[in-house]
Amino acid sequence: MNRKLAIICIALAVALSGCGKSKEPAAGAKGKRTIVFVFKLVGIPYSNVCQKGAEKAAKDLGVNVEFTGPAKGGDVAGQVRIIENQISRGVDAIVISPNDPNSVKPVIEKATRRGIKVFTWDSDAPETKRIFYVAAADDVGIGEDIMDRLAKDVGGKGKVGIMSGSQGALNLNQHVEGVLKALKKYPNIELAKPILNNNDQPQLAQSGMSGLLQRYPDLAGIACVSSPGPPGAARAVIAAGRAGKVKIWGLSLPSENRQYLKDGIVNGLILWDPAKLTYLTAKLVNDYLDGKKPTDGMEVKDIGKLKVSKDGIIIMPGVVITKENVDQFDF
Amino acid sequence: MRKSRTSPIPRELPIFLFLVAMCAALALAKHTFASAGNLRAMGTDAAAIGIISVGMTAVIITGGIDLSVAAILALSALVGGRLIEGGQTSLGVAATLATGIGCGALNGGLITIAQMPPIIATLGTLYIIQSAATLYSGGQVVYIQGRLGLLGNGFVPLVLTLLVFAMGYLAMRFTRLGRYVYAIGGNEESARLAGISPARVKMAVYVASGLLAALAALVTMGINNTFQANDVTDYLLAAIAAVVIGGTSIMGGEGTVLGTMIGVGISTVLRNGAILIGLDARWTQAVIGAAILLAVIAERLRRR
Amino acid sequence: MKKIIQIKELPVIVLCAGLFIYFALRAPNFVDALGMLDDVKQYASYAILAVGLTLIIGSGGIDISVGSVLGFSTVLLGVVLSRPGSSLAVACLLAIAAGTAWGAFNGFAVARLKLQPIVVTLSTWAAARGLAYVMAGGGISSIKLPARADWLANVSYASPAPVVLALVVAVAGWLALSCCGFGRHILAIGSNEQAARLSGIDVSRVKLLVYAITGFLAGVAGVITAGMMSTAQTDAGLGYEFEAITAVLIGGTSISGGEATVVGSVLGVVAAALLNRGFGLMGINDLWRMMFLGVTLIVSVLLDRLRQYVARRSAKTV
Repeated sequence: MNRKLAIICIALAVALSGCGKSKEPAAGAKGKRTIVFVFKLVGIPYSNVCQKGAEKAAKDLGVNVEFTGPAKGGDVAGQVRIIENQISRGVDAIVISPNDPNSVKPVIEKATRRGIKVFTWDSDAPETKRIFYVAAADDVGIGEDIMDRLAKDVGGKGKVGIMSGSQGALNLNQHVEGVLKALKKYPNIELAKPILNNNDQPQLAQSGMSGLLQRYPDLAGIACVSSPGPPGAARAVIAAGRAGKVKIWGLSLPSENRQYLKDGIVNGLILWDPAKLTYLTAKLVNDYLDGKKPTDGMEVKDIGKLKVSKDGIIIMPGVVITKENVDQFDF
Repeated sequence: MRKSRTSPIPRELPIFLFLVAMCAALALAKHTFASAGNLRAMGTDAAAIGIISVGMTAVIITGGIDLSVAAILALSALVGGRLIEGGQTSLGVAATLATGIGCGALNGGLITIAQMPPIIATLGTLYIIQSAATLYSGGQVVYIQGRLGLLGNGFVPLVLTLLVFAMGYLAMRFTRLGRYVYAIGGNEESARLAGISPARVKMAVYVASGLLAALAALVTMGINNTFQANDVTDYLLAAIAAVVIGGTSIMGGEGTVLGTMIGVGISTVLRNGAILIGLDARWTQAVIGAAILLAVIAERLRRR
Repeated sequence: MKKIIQIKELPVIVLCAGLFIYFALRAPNFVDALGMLDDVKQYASYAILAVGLTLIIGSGGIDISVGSVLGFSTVLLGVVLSRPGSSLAVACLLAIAAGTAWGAFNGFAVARLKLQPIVVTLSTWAAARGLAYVMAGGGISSIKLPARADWLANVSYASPAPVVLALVVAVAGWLALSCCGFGRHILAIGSNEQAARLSGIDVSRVKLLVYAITGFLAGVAGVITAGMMSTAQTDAGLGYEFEAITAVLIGGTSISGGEATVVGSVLGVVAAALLNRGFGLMGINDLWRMMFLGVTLIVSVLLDRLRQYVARRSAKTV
């Protein structure tokens, strides 16, 4: 009976092996070079746009460029597991946008020991063995930028609020840090507490903003550091009949704010093209694997001049999106 | 209000008083709490969760649970939303409702025909439907282009939600199906012996839960004008919390839609009030946990 | 054949074997001892949680707060360690004690206040996570562990210690369940609480213990998680309860109580680890893994019903 069972199992497995799909085995010593991007998560618009950049890079550069990430947001452990898988595959390079910079330190060490080159993009892991980091701007700096532009639009005085995403996200917390830092420059602008958290859910963005508008009927503006923020705040402002009177600046995708920008309800967004950022990173990583290191001030076609600092941070020029130029962007 | 046989106090009274007290305190602290604008905002906030809570109430009264409601909401929204985005609004609305009913039937089938415990069946369908929603949409946002704006305008979400509550209340109180739901939840064997078909009743409540999730999907799309697969993941726990706070026992057989409505009211007012008084967002989770516990203890005491 | 059908763990054994063989054939580099050890290490926390959950579910209860309690312990560890001069040992002990306290609270509410487990643990799920956020401080998403915690980090990440610990916990759980009165009492309560009480079992005490033990294990898992990530993340453990409960159910423990298998639960976690490795190496989207987990859960419970049906039939025809 035991034998029969074993035979059934094996037969089943062999039969199953007929179906299913898999990618090409990773290069390692033989075959095409493979660069794998491990993002914070998959299944959101931002990651989809990044993936497009990776796919274009694969075509243009003639190497395998893959894009992956955990299914859940903020899944630190899941991301580490995926990186471990890439190490097992023996890929040539891993590019990470870590959910948490400290959590990837051990796994980056392990990859480096096995001869895999590790880089970061979009979000950094500064105290690790990553070779360089490609970003549009530093996370704190973006927060400062948002606050500066908002301050200008509210005329340097009044009460402004801050809306973040989830409490556990590092990059969001750093954006908020930047907003608070810049706030100090404007003595006549007061922070309208509490700082809102929308947990990346549009309904919470809207209800949070509605609540804030009720608490401060004379609210002058809001700085939103997570994507669902500006559209949610816009909806709340419209519903409260204060469209245009409450200034909204934030970090969000142009496609989600197009009409609000044109109608003047959202005043502006600060962003970068995630596809370009990913494409640029793939190109720089590929060059590095060929022995060409990035240098300060180097010009890259379609992108512009890069700032490269000695601890390996490469800044790609960002972009401010307003109603004037929103139609240029398709993401 | 339904009075229980052992106590002259209507079961919903304590939580109703609690809700009134909270509202009074908030209105005193910040008079804008009681404004029409704020009421509208809270109504919009409560709409989707309120609608799915009605379905959840019936499911829990039968002694089961539906962990997949938020996932059903997401999938139906995306299936219909894509069509609406492309201009086929009525077809999209139909597709949304059909998806909700279909998913509900799947749950019902697993629970009645395959005799699976509801918590396992709906945990499994939660995984399947949620990942299907993200895979189907590719994680992309669906743009409703204002075509469902009617559902999201002004006081419409609040009115719609109250309508659903009213229908749910009437269905549970005055229809035969409603009585059967309580019977199954109270003692399934006796109900069966009395000639009630547990399978039919259970199938009905799970399909209803799916249908209401689809309705909530339409309202959500009307309010937000967009939809993305991860938009509603918080709604599941919020719905269960509302039902529990409302006094419905997780064991089944007891509970009312009215209680759930008060439960939804309490959690909405809590969320709104927290911002109004400037409470740091960090404390919200902890406060919600405390509220659930208090509600359950109060229910226990009331039963003694 | 009759004997084999009686084995509760049959579906999960077949599942593990099937996954292993399938991936060995289709996923590049799948069968690699070091790689597999690393993957299993990542799942050590889930395994530890699953053992406690097996006892709770066996007694007819449930605990959906384990992920939040894990997170609370992790953050407590980070907060204590960020005070200069605090010792690593004390920090770990406090973290584990905190987990145990949460578990005891759950147990007290279920056993003494006679509240329903799902609602009690629902409130703990929210409260523990919320208090973890409060402890960490506003706007803090993770606390880096200082240098004196390096020992913990090395042991958790660079050595097989987590796996060994998970095995020890599993063996202890298995022993508790199968070899002594405690285990028998748990299952008796799960099968028929009234009867158990009437036969003299101290139901309250047993229930309190299983929840407290699970809290303790969640605290331990919290310490390991902090060590493995070298950081105390406020979202640590988020969602772990779902996956751990899924592993327990796939393993053959019955949700209604009375039947439990620690071996099955551990194998359920192994199946999840194999799935993760296999899909990861094949480059398949993580979302498909989630879907596969859902299908597996439903299919394995259906298969288990089938197994029980066949077992009953064959027992009759003896």
